[in-house]
Amino acid sequence: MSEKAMNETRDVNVRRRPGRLRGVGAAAGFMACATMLAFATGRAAMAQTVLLQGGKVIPVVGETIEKGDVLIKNGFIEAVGESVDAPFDATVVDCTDKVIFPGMIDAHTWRGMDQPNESPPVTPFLNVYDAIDPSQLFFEDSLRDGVLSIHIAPGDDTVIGGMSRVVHPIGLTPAEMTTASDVALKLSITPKSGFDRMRQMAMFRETFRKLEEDMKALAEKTYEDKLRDDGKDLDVPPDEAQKRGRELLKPEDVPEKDRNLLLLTQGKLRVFIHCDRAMDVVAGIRLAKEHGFFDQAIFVLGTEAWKAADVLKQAKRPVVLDPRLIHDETDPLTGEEKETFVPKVIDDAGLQFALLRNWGSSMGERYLWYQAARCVREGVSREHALKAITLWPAEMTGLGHRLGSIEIGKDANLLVLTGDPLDMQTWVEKGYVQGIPVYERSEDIRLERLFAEPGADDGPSENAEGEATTEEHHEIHKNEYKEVDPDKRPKRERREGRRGGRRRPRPE
Amino acid sequence: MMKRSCATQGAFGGGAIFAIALACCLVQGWASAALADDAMPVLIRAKKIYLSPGNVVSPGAILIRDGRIDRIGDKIELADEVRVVDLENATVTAGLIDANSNAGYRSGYHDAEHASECIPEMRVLDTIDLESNDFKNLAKDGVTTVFVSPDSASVIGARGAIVRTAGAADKRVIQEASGVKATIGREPIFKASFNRTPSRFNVSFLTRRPTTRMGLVWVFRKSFHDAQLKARGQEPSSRGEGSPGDASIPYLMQILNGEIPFRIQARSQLDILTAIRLSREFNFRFTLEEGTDAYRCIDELKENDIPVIYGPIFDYPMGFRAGTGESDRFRYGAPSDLVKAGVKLALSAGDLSGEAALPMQAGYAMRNGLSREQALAAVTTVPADLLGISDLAGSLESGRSADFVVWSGEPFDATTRAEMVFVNGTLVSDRTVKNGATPADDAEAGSKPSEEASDE
Repeated sequence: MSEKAMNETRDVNVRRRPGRLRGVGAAAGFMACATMLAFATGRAAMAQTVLLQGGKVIPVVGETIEKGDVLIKNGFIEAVGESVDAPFDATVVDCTDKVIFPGMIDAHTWRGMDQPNESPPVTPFLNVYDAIDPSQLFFEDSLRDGVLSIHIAPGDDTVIGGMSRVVHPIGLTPAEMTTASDVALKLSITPKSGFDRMRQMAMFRETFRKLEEDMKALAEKTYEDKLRDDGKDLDVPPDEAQKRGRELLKPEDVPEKDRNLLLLTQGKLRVFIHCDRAMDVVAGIRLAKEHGFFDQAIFVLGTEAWKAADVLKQAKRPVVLDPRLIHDETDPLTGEEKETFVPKVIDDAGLQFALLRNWGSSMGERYLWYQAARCVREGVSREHALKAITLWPAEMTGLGHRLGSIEIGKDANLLVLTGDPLDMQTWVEKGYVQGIPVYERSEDIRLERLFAEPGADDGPSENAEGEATTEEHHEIHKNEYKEVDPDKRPKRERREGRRGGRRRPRPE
Repeated sequence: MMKRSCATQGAFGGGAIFAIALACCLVQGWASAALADDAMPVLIRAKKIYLSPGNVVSPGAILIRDGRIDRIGDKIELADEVRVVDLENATVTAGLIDANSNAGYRSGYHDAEHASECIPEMRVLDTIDLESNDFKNLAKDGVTTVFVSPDSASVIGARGAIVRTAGAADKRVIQEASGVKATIGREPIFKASFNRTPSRFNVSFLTRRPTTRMGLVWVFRKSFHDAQLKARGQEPSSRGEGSPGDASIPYLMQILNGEIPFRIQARSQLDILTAIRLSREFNFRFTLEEGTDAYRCIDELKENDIPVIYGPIFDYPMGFRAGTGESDRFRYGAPSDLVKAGVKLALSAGDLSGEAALPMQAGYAMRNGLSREQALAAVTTVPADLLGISDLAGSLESGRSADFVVWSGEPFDATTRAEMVFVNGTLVSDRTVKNGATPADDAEAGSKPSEEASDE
C-alpha cells in the first residue's frame, strides 16, 4: 500500500507501521511544529529500536524496578528488566535518575473536536473522526503533560452521540493520529439541552422501537427476497419470516444509520453512558439492561453521581469520574458545608475508575498525574491512583492489551519523567508513541518560552531544524527585540487555541 | 492516609503507655475531641519540623500548653502528663500567611464603593464577615493569617485588615486597619457597571469615574497633589468634584510620610511601571500586589526596593483576570526569576481556593523553579515581614501562640494535605479523624477511653 493510500484509509490501525508517522509534525504548534517536524522526519525511521537504560521503571502492573531498562522494537515493548542487552541497532537513551512510565490516558473527552455535538438528538451514525482538529493546541498540551492516548468521544449534549476513537496527540490528520477507531458509542442519560428527563428517555425508547421495527421489516424483506431468488413462494407467517430473515441479514444489508445501533443492541458495541446525576445512573443501568448493552457499558459520571455508589457497586461496571473530584454540598438549613472526595467513595466501592483533566481549572487539575496525586492525598492507594490514569482507561476503551502499562508486547507508548509521576516537580522529559520519539522537553519551544527571560517571547523561531534554542534566538535578535514595544507584538493566540474554541469567560 | 496513634503519657508513665497507645489507636475520633479541649498539654511528634525556612528539626516534637508553643525541638523532656500525637511521615510548618486575600467579603462588579475614587478613610474590616466560610476554607488549607485586601474597584481604596482565619472571636483581628490599597489597571475602570456617565446633566470628566488608564492616573495624582496642598494649608484650585474628601487627607499624608503601608495592585508591565513612576513623583514606598508581569520589570523593582505579593499563579488566565486583558503574558518562571533577582517575594492565592489555594500556589511555584525553602518563605516569613507581624506569625518559636500546620507529607507536594491546623492555640481542623466517624461511634467500637486515660 502506498503512503498516500494509507493516509486516505481512515481507520487504519497504525500500530504495526511506525513508519506511517514519518513526516508527522507537532499536533498543532505553530511554534513547536517546526521542531517536531524535523524531529519526526529526522529520526523516526532510525529510532525503531530504542533502549531506555538505567531508569526507574514504574510499569503500573507488577513491581517497580529501581534501575531497569526498557527495549522498544518495531513500536512495541520488546523487553523489560533490570538489565536488557542493547541490540546492535538500538539507540540507547540514558535514563539515569529518570522514571520510565507508561503514557497516560485520557479516558473521555470531547476536546480535540471542533464542536462536541451535532444538533439532532439521535446520531449514532456520526464519527468523531470527522470533527477532530489536529491543529488544536490541546494535543500539544497533552503531549507535554504526558497524555499519550486520548479517547475522543462526542460531547454530553446529546441522546445518542456517535462513535468515538482513541488517538495519540501527534499527527497531521485524524487518520495519522488514530490509535483505535470505532471504540465506543456515546449515550447521554442526562438530558440534552432543551430536553427534560422524560423526553430524553422517551427518545431512547422511540429510537430502539423504531430500530426493532425497521429490522423486522428488513428481515422479512430479506427472507422474501431469498425465496424469490430461489423461485419459491412465501411459506411461513410473518413472525417466522422475520426470524429466518434475521439469520440471513448481512451487516452490509443494514442501512448505515442503523448499523451502530444494531451492534449496540446486540451487545457487540462498547458504550460510554454519561450520567451527570445519581438519578441518571439508575436510569442508565436500566436502559442498558433492557436493551442488551449493559455488559458493554462504561458510565461517565458527574460529581453528584457518587451518591449512586451502591447501585454502581452492584452493577460492577467501570466508571469515568468527573474531573471535579470533590462534591460540595451546603446544608440549606445549617449552612454547613460538606465535601465528598468522589474517587475515594468509588474506590471503596471496589470499582475500576478513570480520572479526567479539569479544563475549568487554571492550575494542577489540568494534569492527569495531579488528579491521581489528589487521590493518594485523600487515601486512595497509589496503585489504584496510577491505574486510574493508565491501565484502567486503557481497559475501558478495549485497549488493555495494547496500552496502559509497561509489559512485553504492548505498544511502546512510554514517558521518561524527571521524577516520580505524582511529584509536583516532575516534568515529562521524553515521550514515545509506538516507539517513535514524539516529545523532547529540551526542544519544547513553547515551554521554554514560558520559563524564558522577558524579551525572548513571541515570534516563532525561524530555524526549521529546531536547532536554535530560545537563548540563541534571543541572542541573534536581541537588537530587534530592544526596539519592539511589547504592546505592539502580535497577540498571543494561546487562549483560544488551548481552550479548544472556548470563549473568554464572561465577567462574573 | 496517615495513621495516628495517640496516647496519654506521664513523665514516669511506665509500662502502661504502650497498651494505652494501642487502645487509643482504635479511638481516633475520641482523641481528636480530646485534643480540642485545652485542658491537657499536647505533644505532637513529626518527621520534620520547619521552624522557619532553612531551619529544620528532624525528627521533631512540639509541645502545646494553654494554646501556646511550650517547647519545640528535636527532643522534649516531659515533666508532666501530656497527650501524645505521633504522626509518621508528617511535617510541621508555621501557619501560612496570605498577604493579599479577599476572604470574608464579596468582591464583585456591583459591590464597588461608589462614594469616591479615593477612600483610604474606610476600613475593609467593616465589611468582612469573620464567620464566612471563606475563612473556614482557608484554615482548612493551612492558612492561619490573612491580610484582607480591599476591593480593587477604587483607585485609592480602603485600608485592609490583618485577621486570623479561625480561633476565638475576640482574638481574630490582629490589625483593624493596616495598609491602604490602590489599584492601577482595568478594575477601577470597569468594575461598578463599567463607569457609564452618571446622569444627563452633570456630564464632565470630573463627575464620573475614570474610564481609561489616563483618567485613573489623573485621579491618583490629583488625590495626592490635593492632599499635599491641603496639608500645607492651601486650598486646591479645583476644590470640589474629583478632589479627595477631607476625611481622606490624613491617610494620604500618612502614605506620603511612610507612616502606613501602601500597596498597589498592578498586573501588566505598563501598570507596574506607572506605579513606580508615581512612587517616584510623590516619593512614597509601596508593595506590589498580583504583579503578573513583574518578571518584566525586575530591574525597576530591584532598583526601587519594591516587594511583590505575587499571584495567584495560573497556567492561563481565567475569570475576571482574563477579562482584564492584563494577565496574558504570564510566565511559569516569574516567581523564581523574581526570587533569584533578589526581589522580596510573597505568594498569594488571592480569591482562589480549592486546588488553587495557597499551599498549591507554593507547590506550583516549586514546580516552576523555587526551592521548597524559598516557597515556604514566600508563604510564611516574607508575608509576615511585609505585614509587620514577624513576632506573631510566620515561624515557630517556643512561647508563641500555637499557629501551625501538620502536613501529611512534605509541605506543598501534590500528595500532601493539611492534616491538622492550629490557629492561635486552637485545633481548628483535624483530618486525621477518619471520614464520618464521630467520637461517640468510636468510643462504642473501642473500650472506654476516658476512663483508661484517667487511670494514668
